[in-house]
Amino acid sequence: MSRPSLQTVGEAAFARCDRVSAELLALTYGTFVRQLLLDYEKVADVNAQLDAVGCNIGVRLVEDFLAKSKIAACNSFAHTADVIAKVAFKMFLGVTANVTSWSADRNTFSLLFDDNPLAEFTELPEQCPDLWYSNVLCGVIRGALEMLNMKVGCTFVRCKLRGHDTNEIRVSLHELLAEQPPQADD
Amino acid sequence: MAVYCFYLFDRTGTCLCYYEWNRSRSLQDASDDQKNMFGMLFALRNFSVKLSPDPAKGVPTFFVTDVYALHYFETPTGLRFVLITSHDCGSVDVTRHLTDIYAEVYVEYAIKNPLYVKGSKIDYELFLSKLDSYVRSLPCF
Amino acid sequence: MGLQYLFVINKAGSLIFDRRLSENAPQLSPNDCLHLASTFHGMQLLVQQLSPEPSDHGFGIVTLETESYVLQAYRPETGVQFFVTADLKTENLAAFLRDVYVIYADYVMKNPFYELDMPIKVDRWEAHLKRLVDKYNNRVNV
Repeated sequence: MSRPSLQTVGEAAFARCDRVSAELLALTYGTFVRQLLLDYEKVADVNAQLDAVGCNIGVRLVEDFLAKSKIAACNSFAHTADVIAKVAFKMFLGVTANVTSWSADRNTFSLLFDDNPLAEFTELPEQCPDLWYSNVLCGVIRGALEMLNMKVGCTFVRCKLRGHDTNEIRVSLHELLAEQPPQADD
Repeated sequence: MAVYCFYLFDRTGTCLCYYEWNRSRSLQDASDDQKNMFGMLFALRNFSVKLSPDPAKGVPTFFVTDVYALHYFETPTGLRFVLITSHDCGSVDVTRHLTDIYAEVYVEYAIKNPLYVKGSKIDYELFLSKLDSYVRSLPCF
Repeated sequence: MGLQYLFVINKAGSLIFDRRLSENAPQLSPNDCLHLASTFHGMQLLVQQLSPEPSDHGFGIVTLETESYVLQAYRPETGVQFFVTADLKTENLAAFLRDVYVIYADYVMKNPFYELDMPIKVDRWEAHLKRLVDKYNNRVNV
């Protein structure tokens, strides 16, 4: 029996998940970003807050992901990239991403995706050209991978809201954290 | 056939949950017992992986002694689920129940509870009662 | 299908014999084996201490299963410990270890030149052990 492809696993996991209205998600997220812009005047601070919020989501979401998708541990960073793109993106956003632009040392890759349910009805105003609207996604990926002992940097490099042709997130592995033995109480 | 107790540890060794159904030897000191259990599991896991022809599949699923059976499941995020039963229940089927406890009890009632601080002891009635009723429904209980 | 690795540990917890019995078994260095043996010994004590029920025999792990192999352990009253790893679904491991113990009692213990608790370097023990292992592997593969 051949192992099901990641695509199939992703679709099966997506089918098992509860659905929520896309409009409700887009509106809730949009209101949240607007409020952050009012609270923090600088756009760079808003980007940082979105990343931090995403990180808090990611550290919890990873458990839901592992429990529902039943994926076993990944044996390489490339495998991790494929799982994020084909299974995690599908399960939580309903879209699949493509993994491209690997660096020579195989420690950095890009996730490309066209559809983004968070930004379906959004148009960025002229006052915030530097805003990465969906930066929460970068935080989620970073938080989730940290729980799996991988320290990564994760940033948007292209966003359709900014006029680019597609959405691109660049993920870079900084270090693998080793398992710590329990502290001895002597 | 009986289920004695359940432990849940995170990767730092903190015992997030200890639940007891049946245990003749009462605990002198719960935190000592939990530290010893985590230490033993850590050593057991490394020992077991070292001896495995395939290190990716070397993590123990269960072991049996003359008196009890210990079933073990760990997640890639470092959570360790442990169920201690009587020795006649020792089987990989019981270990599979631990994956259900992860998906249906821990993720649903701890992780998705916004008031729960990750890495702290899970003291929520709903979580504990779901855990209790799930384990009581098992055929080995 | 078959046996993978055999270890014999003295009552102080030191390794006195180890033998790789199959190509499937991992390659372990002498240091690895020493370390595994002493870990096993310490772990058995902890496993007994952590028992939720009182025990008559004070044994420790008898059987351990993982996704890729099983481990069977045997400890007679004298305190020497035997443990063997084998492919999943290998049967009769408990009987195999009892047979190993019989060979140990005959060709190691009854050998007047074998120093107690020291590493076993006895040819007749090795020969009988090899015969026993072949017999078990053949029985399993038939």
